[in-house]
Amino acid sequence: MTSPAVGDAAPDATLIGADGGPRALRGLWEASPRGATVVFLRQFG
Amino acid sequence: MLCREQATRLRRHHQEFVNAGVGLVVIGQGDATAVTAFQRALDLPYPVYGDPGRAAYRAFGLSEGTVRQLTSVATLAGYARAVLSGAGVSKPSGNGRQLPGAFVIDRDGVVRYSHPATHGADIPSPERLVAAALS
Repeated sequence: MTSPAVGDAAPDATLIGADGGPRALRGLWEASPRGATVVFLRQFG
Repeated sequence: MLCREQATRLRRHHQEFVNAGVGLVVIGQGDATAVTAFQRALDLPYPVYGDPGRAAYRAFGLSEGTVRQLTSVATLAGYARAVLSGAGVSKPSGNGRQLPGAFVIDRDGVVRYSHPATHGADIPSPERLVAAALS
């Protein structure tokens, strides 16, 4: 699968919060006036 | 180590994201326990989420690196920078071959900046990410 390019629709996915509950990625960019910067780390550590 | 340095740099620039009106979200491999430990250890003011199955990584086209990508001079230089920054080391979680990435997504769900890493330490600066969010 290739990464979304500029102008593409961002894919959605379900993440896990610190409380253990599911969280839709989509909701994160919908929550701020200018969207969101989403940073994927290699790992925690 | 690289991730701790990256997360710490983002922490130092967090207010710039706030001022720009753009959310900052950090995703790592791991479950809720790993999320909590990472966030508390580095005192991160922004949301951190886990993706233990790496479904989000795959959805954004972020793959595992090749040996060449993970041992490149640029990657090793990134590790050296992380050591010198004093970011520290903790037990990593997840697949060590996973490559990072960063994306700016507007409120309508359209990608405004796309940076899938080309090597293990290919990480855009916080300044670059803020600028991308404002452009």
